[in-house]
Amino acid sequence: MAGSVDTEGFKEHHPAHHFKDADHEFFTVKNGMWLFMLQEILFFAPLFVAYFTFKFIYFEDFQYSAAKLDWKLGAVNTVILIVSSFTVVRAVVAAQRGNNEGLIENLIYTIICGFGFMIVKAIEYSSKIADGVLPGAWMNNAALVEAAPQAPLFYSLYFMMTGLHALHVAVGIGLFAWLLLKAKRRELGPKYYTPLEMTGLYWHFVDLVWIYLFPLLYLVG
Amino acid sequence: MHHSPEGTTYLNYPKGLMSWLVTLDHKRIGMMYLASVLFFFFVGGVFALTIRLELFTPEQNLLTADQYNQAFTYHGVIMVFLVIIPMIPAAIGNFVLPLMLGAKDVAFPRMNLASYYIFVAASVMAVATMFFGGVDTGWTFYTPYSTQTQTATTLMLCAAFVAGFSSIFTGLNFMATVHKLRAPGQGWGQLPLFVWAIYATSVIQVLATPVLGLTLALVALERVAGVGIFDPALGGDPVLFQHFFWFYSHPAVYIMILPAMGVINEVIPVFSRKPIFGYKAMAAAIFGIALVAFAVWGHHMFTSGQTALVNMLFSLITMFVAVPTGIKVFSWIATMYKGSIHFDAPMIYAFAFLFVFVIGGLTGVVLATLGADIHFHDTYYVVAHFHYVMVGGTLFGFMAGLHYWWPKFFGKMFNSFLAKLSAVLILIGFNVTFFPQFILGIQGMPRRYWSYIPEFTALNQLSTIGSFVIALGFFLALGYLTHSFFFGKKAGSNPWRALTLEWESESPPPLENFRFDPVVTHGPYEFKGERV
Amino acid sequence: MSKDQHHHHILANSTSLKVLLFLFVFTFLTVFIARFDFGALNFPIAMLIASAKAMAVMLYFMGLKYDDNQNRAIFFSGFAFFGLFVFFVAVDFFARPSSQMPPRGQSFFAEVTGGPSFERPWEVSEEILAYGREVYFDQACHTCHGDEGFGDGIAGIAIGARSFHDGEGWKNGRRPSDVYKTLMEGLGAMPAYPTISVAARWAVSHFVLDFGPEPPADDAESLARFGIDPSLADGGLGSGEEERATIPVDFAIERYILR
Repeated sequence: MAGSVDTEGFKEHHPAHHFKDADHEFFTVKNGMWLFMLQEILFFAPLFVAYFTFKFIYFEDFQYSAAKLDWKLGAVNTVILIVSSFTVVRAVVAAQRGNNEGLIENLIYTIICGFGFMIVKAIEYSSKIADGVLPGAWMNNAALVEAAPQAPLFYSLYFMMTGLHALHVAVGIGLFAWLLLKAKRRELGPKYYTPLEMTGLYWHFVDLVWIYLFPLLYLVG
Repeated sequence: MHHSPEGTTYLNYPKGLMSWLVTLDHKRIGMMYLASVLFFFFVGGVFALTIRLELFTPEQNLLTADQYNQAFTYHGVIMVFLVIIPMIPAAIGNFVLPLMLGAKDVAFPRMNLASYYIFVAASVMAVATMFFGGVDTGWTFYTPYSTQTQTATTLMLCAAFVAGFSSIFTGLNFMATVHKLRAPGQGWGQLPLFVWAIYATSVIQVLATPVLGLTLALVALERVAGVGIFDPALGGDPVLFQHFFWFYSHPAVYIMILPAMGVINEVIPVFSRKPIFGYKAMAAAIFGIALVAFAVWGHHMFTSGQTALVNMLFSLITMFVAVPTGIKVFSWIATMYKGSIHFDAPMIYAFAFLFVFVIGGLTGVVLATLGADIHFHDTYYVVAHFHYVMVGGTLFGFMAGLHYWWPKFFGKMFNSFLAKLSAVLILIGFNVTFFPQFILGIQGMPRRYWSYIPEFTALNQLSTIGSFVIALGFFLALGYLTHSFFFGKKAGSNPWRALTLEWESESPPPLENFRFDPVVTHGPYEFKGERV
Repeated sequence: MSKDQHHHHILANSTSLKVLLFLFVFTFLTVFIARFDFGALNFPIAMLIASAKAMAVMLYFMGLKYDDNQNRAIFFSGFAFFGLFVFFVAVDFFARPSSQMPPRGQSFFAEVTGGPSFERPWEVSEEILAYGREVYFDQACHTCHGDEGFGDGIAGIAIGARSFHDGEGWKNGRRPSDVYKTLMEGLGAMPAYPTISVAARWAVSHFVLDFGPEPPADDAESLARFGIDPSLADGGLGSGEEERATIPVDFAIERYILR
């Protein structure tokens, strides 16, 4: 089967035996992907619940601690992720139209955006580490704790929430790299682009989480 | 996958150990789950008997107090995460669900196999903790003790986290299967109620389990890294842990009971030769229970220090769960009314279920009563209540299902007399073990205590004796079921004369489930009111 | 039957560009609005803007506008259950009296490590006995061991809590350092108390011994188990003694239940 090619010039794909046809497989996998993202919402939920709870109890402390975050870097990351969601959409459309060059191009842009996000995150984290602004028991900035005694709690939540999110971004970058390889082997075309569609949905979800994290942590505090 | 040779079944085609280990066949995966779940049931049972032996007298019998803490922790963790939660959905559901839908497999067979291996990995991690200092926090891992105890708690938290993903993936798989792989003619209104029950269970699994996963990860992080939201010294709140934990763990008990109710929904009509009473109400009740399940978790926290306002809210809403549950119980009874009752082993378990589950449910209402719970919280009343619903409910439901679908799983019949004898033994043993515990609870005996005042001795001894009767019943079951597996009389494709799709295939089914394309032409319970 | 079963919707270029623009504009908007202080409305405004952006991503980029009801229901139900979760936890915390939360500038840490200190706490004295009595009741020892130390406290009867009036049969021994050891490590059903201060542990050890006959004396060897050298003025304490900065029981009760 290695060399067989479909009518659009892409590698032939055979749906698993328990599906009626390729479309049945596509829409079932999509259904499953939405279910996966449903559980992801609930996976992030406890951190948001904890954040909302403590934010309103320790209102001033959280505002004061959040003011130490660089909102400009946060905004840059927001723009990066929005652009990457756009390039993902372009990649999917390219595959749907059989435009393999367009697909590869947009996958590369998406990966670049992903790395861009991680680099900005690294800059943010290292600046915090350099200032001794660390989560929980690691907090090592007496002036901050003096002014906002619950700063360790804020930073526990900040690092955990952005850390979990960054982990998801890293996984996404890996998935897009895998898709890039598939695209280079002409395995993603109009008749079969399921892995691309699903990874795309995942990536938009990651964007969604950041759309809420950014104003919550950086702007409102 | 292609047509398997005539005369072969999923058990013997394809052949070889490797073909089992990398199988994508939902039937084989279900049977592997069955073996694992039964194995851990016996392990958890050994811990149970150890606890009961220790509690035979107030003095130390077998265990020190620290070892006792470990014993009830392992009993709880193993039974909850490795037995009761996967028991019906993963073992029976995996096998039966696609067959009932006329599908060739579940939506995502590779994910299904992954679910199983994730489960195995989790169980290995859980067992491994025994060699690294054990765990003594109770299966509920309450902070601050769980963030401080010097035992192998972190590894156990990881094990439970991993097990959670097995559960999530199974639920996700089942939902997608029911959404997309139904046979022609099978709308939602023609689905067997077992499918409705498994579906509702899957919804809960997908929604609630991730919250537990993250919560346990947070406790592990607090233990290992001092980054935490539960330790007041870090500005956190231990009651928040309880909110997070019970947001999953209350719906989890409905993950345990709904599939059992699903089994009963199948067994009662078949063995009464009558259609189920109120199909639509039954389906709605299943969903009603699943929905209310998410809004009542605080009833585990009445004495935790959460505010009085939210105490009252949770108490009130918990009362509502009795409504759909009651609808189901009355519908089961109405189904049997004027039916033609056949007292085969599945039906005996169904009767046992009705009797015992109702007691469990009613005592749940007692516990939901805020004022009463202040007295009963953390006493043996609670222990008795949840054993009545988990053992009496889920385990008896499982036994009903195991016996009902046994001929379909293995193509063999079991010894009917021994099955009924074992069921009766287990039922009697169960009541002798746990009914006294209601009384002990009312009298004030605390749970998770290694000793008690001498006045409680007689009832504790009665309870211990009962536990060994249960053990006897299960060993008997192990005996006749093993015998049936190897030497049992061959079963036809539909020994119980049921009407759901799985009975239209061979017993056991071939690899591809059906040697024809199944089409649904009648409802699942359209019995014509036969007489014996 | 849902229309998506046969139809792979291809998002038009113009639509995706419009959505991108929308997202940029609203990102700018949320940053701009953050410059102004609307007090309690800051949070809802920010969340509203974020939700508008989220809707755009969900409906267009994720294709829910062109998808079937089932996928929409699946995803939106996640937010519904998230909301339920937030609701009840919020009701719990917001119904707590505000006096339960520490005012800004006060740290939990300061209150925990307070309490008197003693030069040579392993030696008995009137002051340390008085402090020991305080600790005995603050740490709820009396709930098991009884108000008069007879082991008849309501929680202790069920588990055979020790009566301090016996002169014999103490598993670890009856020297003050033996009682201190029991407090450090626990014994059977008696939990360990590493979280109370060193002074408190010695104080309560002396206090409980005071219920019974004259206890046997400590010597250099028995004290050395805890890093104490009695020939030194301060015994060498403060080196190698770990104190856990954790909330004491009385503090928690006062904060969470009594207020």
